[in-house]
Amino acid sequence: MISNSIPKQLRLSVTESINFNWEQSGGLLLFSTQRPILEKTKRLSIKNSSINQLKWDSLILSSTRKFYSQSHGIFLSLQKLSAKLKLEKKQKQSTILNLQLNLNLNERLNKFQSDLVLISRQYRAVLTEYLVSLSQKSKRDPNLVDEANLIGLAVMLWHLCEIIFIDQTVYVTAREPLSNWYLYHFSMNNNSLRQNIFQTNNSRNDKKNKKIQKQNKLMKKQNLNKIDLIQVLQSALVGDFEQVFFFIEQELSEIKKSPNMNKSLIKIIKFIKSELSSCPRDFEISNTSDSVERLKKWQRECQQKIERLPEFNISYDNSISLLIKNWKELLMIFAGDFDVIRQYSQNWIEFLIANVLWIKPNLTIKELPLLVEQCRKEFINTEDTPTNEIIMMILKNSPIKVIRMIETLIASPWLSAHLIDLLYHSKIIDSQKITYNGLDLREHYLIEFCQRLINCNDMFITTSSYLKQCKTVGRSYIELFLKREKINSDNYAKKLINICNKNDLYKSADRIKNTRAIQLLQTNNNVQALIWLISIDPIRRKNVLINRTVDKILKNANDLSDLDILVNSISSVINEKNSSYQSDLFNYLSKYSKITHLFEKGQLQKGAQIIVKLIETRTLPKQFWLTILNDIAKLISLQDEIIFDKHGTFVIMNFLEQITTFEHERETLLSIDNSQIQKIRFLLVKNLGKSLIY
Amino acid sequence: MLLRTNETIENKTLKNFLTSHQYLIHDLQIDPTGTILVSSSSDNCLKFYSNKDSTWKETFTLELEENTNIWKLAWSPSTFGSVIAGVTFQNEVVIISQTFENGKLQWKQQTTVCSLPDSIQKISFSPDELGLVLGVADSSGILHIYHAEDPSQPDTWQKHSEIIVANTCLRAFDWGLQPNYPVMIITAAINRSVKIWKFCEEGLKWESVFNLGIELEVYDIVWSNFVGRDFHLIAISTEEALEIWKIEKLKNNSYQNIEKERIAYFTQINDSIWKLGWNETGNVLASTSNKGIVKLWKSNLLGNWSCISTITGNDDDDDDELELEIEN
Repeated sequence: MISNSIPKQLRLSVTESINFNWEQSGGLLLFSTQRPILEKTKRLSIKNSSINQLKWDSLILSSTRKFYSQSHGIFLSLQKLSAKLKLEKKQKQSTILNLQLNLNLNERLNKFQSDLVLISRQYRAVLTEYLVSLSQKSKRDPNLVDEANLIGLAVMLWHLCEIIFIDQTVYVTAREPLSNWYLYHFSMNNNSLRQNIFQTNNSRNDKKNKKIQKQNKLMKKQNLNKIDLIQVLQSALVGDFEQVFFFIEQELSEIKKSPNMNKSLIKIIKFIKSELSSCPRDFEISNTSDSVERLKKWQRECQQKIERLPEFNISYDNSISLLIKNWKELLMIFAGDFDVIRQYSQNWIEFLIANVLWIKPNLTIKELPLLVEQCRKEFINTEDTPTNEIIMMILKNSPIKVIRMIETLIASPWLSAHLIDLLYHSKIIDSQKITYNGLDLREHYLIEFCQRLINCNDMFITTSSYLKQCKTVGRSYIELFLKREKINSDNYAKKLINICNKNDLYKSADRIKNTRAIQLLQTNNNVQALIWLISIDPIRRKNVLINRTVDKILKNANDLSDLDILVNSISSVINEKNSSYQSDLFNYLSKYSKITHLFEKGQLQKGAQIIVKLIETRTLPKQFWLTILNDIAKLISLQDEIIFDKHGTFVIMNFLEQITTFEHERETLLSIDNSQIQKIRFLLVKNLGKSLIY
Repeated sequence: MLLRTNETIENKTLKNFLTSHQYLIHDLQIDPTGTILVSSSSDNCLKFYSNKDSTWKETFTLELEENTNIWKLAWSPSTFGSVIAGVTFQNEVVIISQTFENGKLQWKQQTTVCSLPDSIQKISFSPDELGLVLGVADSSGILHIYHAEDPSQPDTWQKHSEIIVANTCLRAFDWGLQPNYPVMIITAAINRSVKIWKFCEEGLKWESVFNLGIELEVYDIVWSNFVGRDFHLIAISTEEALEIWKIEKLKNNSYQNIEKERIAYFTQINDSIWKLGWNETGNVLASTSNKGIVKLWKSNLLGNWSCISTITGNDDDDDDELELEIEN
């Protein structure tokens, strides 16, 4: 999870002016320095020349990467689902009279809604998995505690958003989902217990369910210390039946062991136990109104019994009176007594949950905002935490405010981005109506998240995948981030070029090719560098650099075999883009490839003809004069048969005279000494003689 | 439930590492890929650091030639490999880059690009659209622009063009880029003129296209990366305030009637900001002032800019012993 908290105030131990530089990963490097622009030389010596590195995105663990990959996968599947639905809607519009298609589309829309719920739960599942991993690691590393707490908060808020925004069509009343939410995230039990509860709620496997329930009971016995009745009253507020029953059993067994057992107390506790056992607990989604009626009936009967039970009305000595009063209040909570519920609620959220459970069990999710206001009024003098404020906004069905508050109060780009994306696809918000600097909100938050994600090593490909979903500026950001990618190998360069091509970033693709070429040139991998250079689009190709590279290759090419390597390496590129290569250089290289091929086949005269044509048409680049002359000399001296006819020999002789006569052209042959030129002349004359005779 | 706020435990986010420089660090620059850091000091050395596990570790020391104390550094765009330009106290601009020797890449002082009679105020490489181009601003009011024809060859540096901005000191300049448009430069001279220039291929010269109309002395000016927005952001520190300007993006190849708006203004009382810097994506601005205070500035969803973070130096620290040597 990315925690991008920028510290408000920091102090450094420096005595000079502070200078800074941004790190690409989003941090700052700070160092003490003197002011620039000095007219005279000054030297300041200091014992410690230190650099301070200020980072606010440093928590990248292996589990963080796994979390990113998992959530990225879910994100992509959501985009695909949404795109598929859009396509189907378009098809519907084009055939509006087709009723069958309309029916299918309605089914499709319902399916999409349930898919959204599934996706939201998948997000929650990966968040929870990450939370568990962080919680375990934080036991060894206290630096992770904050991060673990943040994830816990994210899970809780996401769950509530799911209930209020995404899953609202499933639940008729707010009772069950809210109480489950509260119990799961705010109960007194430990994390692993909560995990089991979560699994129990969602698991369809009966055997697994029973096993988990057994584990729950064991853990309760081990983990729960002696709870007092006041704590149980608070558990009752939020419908934690298990806690209440556990306490009842515990008290009963203790009282029985006690020598001074109070029979009235035992009778009261047993009475409460039997009443609570008949209290309707789980509401059937399919028949909520009946369930509400049954609860209300039970509550009425319970109230009547409370009034009639004599043990509740007898006066005892002080300690027993108080105890019995508390037990009575426990039952009154379940019976929906407003005053008792208000008395024991510690904050407005608890009060709200208790209201929804016991006072207004038929309240729908849509009616929640009004109840939220009423509950808050009851606790108007208590200061709200930022978390509670966000919860309030969610319950009041204000998704935009929720997102903004998450940004400012929690500063979690992951949460803001993925939540707003889900809400956008669920049509809960129309983010295009709200813009920030020309971007719709969804894009703004996705970009904020990407700016954090790119700071993690090797996350460029994932980041570019997110950016592709930002139609307005995603491409520009991909282009920007590409500039900072360290290209260490041909394979990685190819991967990045692939991304560029998919996003129509051809300029950036050429930049990568150029960068890779220069890297290879620095390490004297000239042939590989040339391959990259010539693969650049001709518009952006730097011919100066290419020519210099070819020069380097030729200088290092001692014999024919080096040139063969060069030609073989680039021949496939030349063949693909033959038509666009107009320069003499590449024309020559392709011809040279042909010449070599002919010589290998033994077709020496045909090869010789191509050489002569190259010289005659003046398309032979300067870099290859020496090579060609040496080739010609070898062919003439090694072969008995006549390779170059009289015309050809004459052309070559003429060429040799020209290049050795004119000063600026002679410079090209500086590396060759006069004796070698004389030798070639001699061979040519000899060949001319032979060709004239034969 | 513990809530996450914008406050962070100090030790968690601030790391400190010592360099082996013998004197105060003059400048520190990170390469565009964020993997190599270079620092310069009066000890005639450049120190190089690599980034491993988010921590910088010193990897190499380059001893420069005599009298080559570098006080200002600049990295070239990564397209051209690892090329650094440095300004010496003798008003020279030197190039340091990597060469392949003995089977590995080594840093080496390659060449001197220029030696100017007037003191150099700022150097900066252009965006790679122009090639390997370096701008050098001096106190005579001229912005000299140098170009390397072959980035892999240090001896191909030559003068490309120049802009005679003013006949007073040219304090600051920065490059600006909008896709499909020529590269631009914004300059700020001591005579209170802040101008934007564009490059004309015909004639190979720079043409002034826009005047920001600021009537105050400017100390620094920075142009944020244009990341697909509808506008450019330029931050300017003047003798009175920090200003952020929004300039509408160019349309239809026209430089006429460009809309501009000052969207933030922060008065500096008894203090002045001498350096500004945008982060990579151009949404957070950092500034440092004479009083040794570094501030971060960002806008909220409503477009209102404010200071979001302050970093100050502690003057009461007695641990650092300061010795002063002045050579005239």
